[in-house]
Amino acid sequence: MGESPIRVVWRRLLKNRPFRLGLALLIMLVLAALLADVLAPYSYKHQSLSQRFLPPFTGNHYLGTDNLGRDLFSRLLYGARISLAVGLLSVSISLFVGGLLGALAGYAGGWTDSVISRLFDLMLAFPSILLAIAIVSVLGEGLGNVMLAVGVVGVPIFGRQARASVLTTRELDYVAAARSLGAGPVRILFVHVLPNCLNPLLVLAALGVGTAVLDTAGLSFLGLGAKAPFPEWGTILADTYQYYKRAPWMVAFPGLSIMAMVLGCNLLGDGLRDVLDPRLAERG
Amino acid sequence: MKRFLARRLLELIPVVVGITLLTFMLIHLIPGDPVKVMLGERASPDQVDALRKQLGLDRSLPEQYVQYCVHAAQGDLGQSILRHTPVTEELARAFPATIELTLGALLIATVFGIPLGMAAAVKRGSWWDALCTTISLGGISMPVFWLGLMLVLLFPYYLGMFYFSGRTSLEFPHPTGFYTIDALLSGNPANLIDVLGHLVLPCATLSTIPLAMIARMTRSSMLEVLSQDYIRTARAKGLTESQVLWGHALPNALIPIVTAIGLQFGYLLGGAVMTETVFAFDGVGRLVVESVKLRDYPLVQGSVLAVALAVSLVNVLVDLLYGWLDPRVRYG
Repeated sequence: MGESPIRVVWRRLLKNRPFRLGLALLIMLVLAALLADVLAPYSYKHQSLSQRFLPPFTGNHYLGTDNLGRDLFSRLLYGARISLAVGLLSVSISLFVGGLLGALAGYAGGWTDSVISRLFDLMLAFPSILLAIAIVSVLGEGLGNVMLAVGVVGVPIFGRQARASVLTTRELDYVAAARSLGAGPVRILFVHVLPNCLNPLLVLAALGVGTAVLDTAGLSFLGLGAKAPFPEWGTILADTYQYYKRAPWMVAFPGLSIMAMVLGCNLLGDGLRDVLDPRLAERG
Repeated sequence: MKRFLARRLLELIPVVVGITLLTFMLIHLIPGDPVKVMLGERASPDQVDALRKQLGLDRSLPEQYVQYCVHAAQGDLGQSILRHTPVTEELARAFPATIELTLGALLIATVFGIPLGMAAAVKRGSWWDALCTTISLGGISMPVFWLGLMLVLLFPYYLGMFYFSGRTSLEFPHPTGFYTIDALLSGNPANLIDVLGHLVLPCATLSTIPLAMIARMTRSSMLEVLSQDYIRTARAKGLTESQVLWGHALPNALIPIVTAIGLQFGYLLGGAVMTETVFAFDGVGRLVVESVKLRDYPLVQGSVLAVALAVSLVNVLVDLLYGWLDPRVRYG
């Protein structure tokens, strides 16, 4: 009996070095986030003013303490939870809304396609971070709104990809066969077309989580996202960067954490692209 | 070429209309009464009425939009609520700083990115290739604002080199707003050295993402060109490897690279937000962030509109350049 297609893909993925590296990095970060309650020596809110600015590896403080005597290691562990959740939720918004709109545009064609495609073009005319800031200015500051803004900014990117994939898939013979058997447009789109357009969207999603983590941290760093004492990585950097001369570790470690997560997502995305979508890989 | 130019300019019209519509709606999408949001809860009814009238919010939506477009076309983007200055005046002050920063970053990215990508393609699989991949991946994975902080820590603080904030620490006239040009015009080399010393770190910080993109694009474009028949012919007729690379391969590989550089310029105009904040660099990005925090909506609206229009225009210029470089594009 032949191997199942999922197994074949998984085996190919495991042979891909960027994918393995990215997966290992992300597994570490996910475990750190999930086990924060067990691994963190302190609560992310715990302050001890007598223990301010302690350098790394002082007692229980593996990464030192900040200006309020809070344990940086514990705060970064809890921060991993927030960054992962925010990255995944933002990309879910982009994937769901962009995927649906793009699929609709590609499948329906005509004026529906024109209207949706022009909307995507328009959104892409704005630099992404600027559009996210403009959306936050409307919705108000806060982590939830930043997450929503980052998700909305990703909509045209996923939408264009979904549209392009649907345009090619809908012309394939098995779709014509389904149509001739009497399947309705909704069934054809959701059962026959969309599942076969998932590969490039999956690649984009992996890369998108990294971008979302980066953008959310950036907006929080600018003071538009999460507020202290919430241990979002960008917020930790914003709170501590004025002390960079006195305690450089306070600035170094949150940045390295963000980089590790984004790098993990990019490596994973690159690996997925090499295996699932070789045409894209050639262009990259 | 004229037809191509006309077509691209015509295609710009719906984009411009869309951009004006979206920035116009910015104020109207604010939940609740935008005037009360801007002035705060303690504003008197008279103040609220006055601002509503000043912003034209007492008229119907289509009327407001037409008025907004007419005023914008005349260069009037309204008044900043907190600074009490015309928005265009603030933009005229901030835009040269951002353009200077962006061009500097692109220069660094191009000067380092193209040779790196070329080396990676020519010596595929070597440590040059590994370096190119590492820099590309690191460049797009690193938080720009964090890199800026690290550079500040390393250079001005530990090594005593360059400056960590502002555009200059010397006094000299600024007739153009572009401080490098103004420093040159002042005739005093000390001014130019000071301005460049302030530009180095922000430009280096901002250049990471475009450097990564340009190196990656150069690598893949060169790899494609190097496998072409005319390269084999060039080698076969006895040209040296550097003649083949610089005379035959690079010019043909340049088209996608030029496009990548041009598109990065647009991206950087808006993407300079973080860098400008870290280095207290008074550009458009910093202006946007501050006006969002202070709820100065006319300033937010004006800045977003100006940047989006500039980006669209730059993208059209890139397309034209692309068409000029590669005739297949303009006749396609």
